[in-house]
Amino acid sequence: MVILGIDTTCDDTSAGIVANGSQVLANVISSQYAAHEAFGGIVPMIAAREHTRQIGHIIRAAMQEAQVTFSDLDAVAVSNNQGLLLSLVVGVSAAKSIALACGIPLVGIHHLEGHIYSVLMAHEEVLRFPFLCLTVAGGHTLLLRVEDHGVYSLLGHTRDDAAGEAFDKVARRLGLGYPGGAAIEKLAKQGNAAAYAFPRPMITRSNLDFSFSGLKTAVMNLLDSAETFRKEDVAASFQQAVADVLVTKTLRAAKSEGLARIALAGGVAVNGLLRSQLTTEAAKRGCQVYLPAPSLCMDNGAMVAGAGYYLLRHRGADPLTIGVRANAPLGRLQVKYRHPAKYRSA
Amino acid sequence: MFSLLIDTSGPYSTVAVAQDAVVSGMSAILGRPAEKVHSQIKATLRATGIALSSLDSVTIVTGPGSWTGLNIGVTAAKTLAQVLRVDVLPISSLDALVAGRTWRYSRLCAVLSAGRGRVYRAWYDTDRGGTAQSGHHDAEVLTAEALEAELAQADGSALLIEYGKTVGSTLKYCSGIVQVLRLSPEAMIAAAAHALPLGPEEAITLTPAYMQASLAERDAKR
Repeated sequence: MVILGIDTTCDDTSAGIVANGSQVLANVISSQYAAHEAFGGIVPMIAAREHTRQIGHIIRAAMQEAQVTFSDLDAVAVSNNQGLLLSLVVGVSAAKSIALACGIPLVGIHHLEGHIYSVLMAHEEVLRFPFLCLTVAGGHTLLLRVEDHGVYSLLGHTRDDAAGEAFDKVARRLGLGYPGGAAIEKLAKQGNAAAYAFPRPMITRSNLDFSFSGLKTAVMNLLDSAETFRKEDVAASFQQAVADVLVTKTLRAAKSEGLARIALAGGVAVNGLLRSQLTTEAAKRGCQVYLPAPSLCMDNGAMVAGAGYYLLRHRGADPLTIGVRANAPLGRLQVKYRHPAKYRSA
Repeated sequence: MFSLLIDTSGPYSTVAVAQDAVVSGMSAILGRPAEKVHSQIKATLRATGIALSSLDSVTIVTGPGSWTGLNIGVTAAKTLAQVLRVDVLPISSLDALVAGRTWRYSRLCAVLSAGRGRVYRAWYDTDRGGTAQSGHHDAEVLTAEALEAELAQADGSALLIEYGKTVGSTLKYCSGIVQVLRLSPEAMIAAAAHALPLGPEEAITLTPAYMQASLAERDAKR
């Protein structure tokens, strides 16, 4: 089964083509970084305009890379929930047009489901339900118990900044540009992670929530007040603080939920320190960590296609009337915790 | 020749199917184009008994108009063309406002809301038969005051044609107003007669005629 996946959730226009849920035939991503750079952040109207400009080119490039035609497609999946509303509508309009013109099923995907399924795509044979999933990205940091296809329990989430957002803001303050995660990781390799004792917010709290705003502010305060500092040391110390919090909370969740399988997903999942520290510490506790392919960590169409494959089989196709929602419930979310409205069950 | 016509630039999403420039069926729904326009296309084709694969072209109103509506409509039109390998006929919402009918005024001023008390405006002259002649090459974004000054200068010879409710009711120097709530398929067909067809590959590059920058870009310029 060949599925085209489209993601226009935020500022990347992406189309991916996946065969049988895990074989990535193409994954084309067009970044809008240059269009937003002058504004110091993502401008929703500009993002929507750039998606409209790029969407046809990206779909054509993905088809060419995968060496398929529209008649080869068995379904089209699209992120229609969770993201910038003005951006989501562009991808959804393209996906609906393809579904309509090709007469194939349409599958609407929650953007976070795409990230979760990026791990399942790589470990479909061994990653059995239930498992714990730490999803860390620019807009989200949350711990989920994944019960089955499309069934999740929210265990904890960030109360303020997402981890990826903190990486971006610290990188910007250090003059490293955007996206910040890769730049900080590169710089941190030449730094001393013990140089600065940045706080590990909420690390000792028994709950599974996160907070990265205070850590980000601590870095800013240091940069504002210190007469001299090594950027490399700041980057390394900050990155270590983030990794310590994420790893500690994830292992606490695994213990409290009695889960030995841990998935790491989202844009920050590409971070080498987080991947290695979580894998090592989890192994000490008898847990196995499952990682997505680095190419599937950022927002991309292939993960949407992968999620579409599984959810089409377990949930069925969606009608052409599906809408878009900036904040949407994540599958059949089972409420186990006080959580923000944006993840609330329908 | 079968043509699909789509307008999502205004408050209504209008979809129609035409055969040899004659409307076979149409549908107009208020609001929510992201959810409805594709099911409108499907329903309209089904009602007229015309298959998508029979289409020869897609006519799309590229703007000016609703930023989000245009992104949805233009993406739908060019993606359909990309899959079906048919031409796209891009037309202006302002052209379609005055096209396809005769007028008793010598000058026509077509406007639609650009938000924040401003309007998109284009002037058209009519011929002896009362048909709008000039294109929308002079289309601009104006304040209500600037529009009023232009209408005063026209000295009663111009008819104001509003797409939806704009600022017409507040103007002193306006000799006549016509309010259009949605573009008619006949008007879109008439406007499309002057459109430059884009092949499916060329249509991939099609973008809406936004006519103004985003708020952030405008703020940055100030």
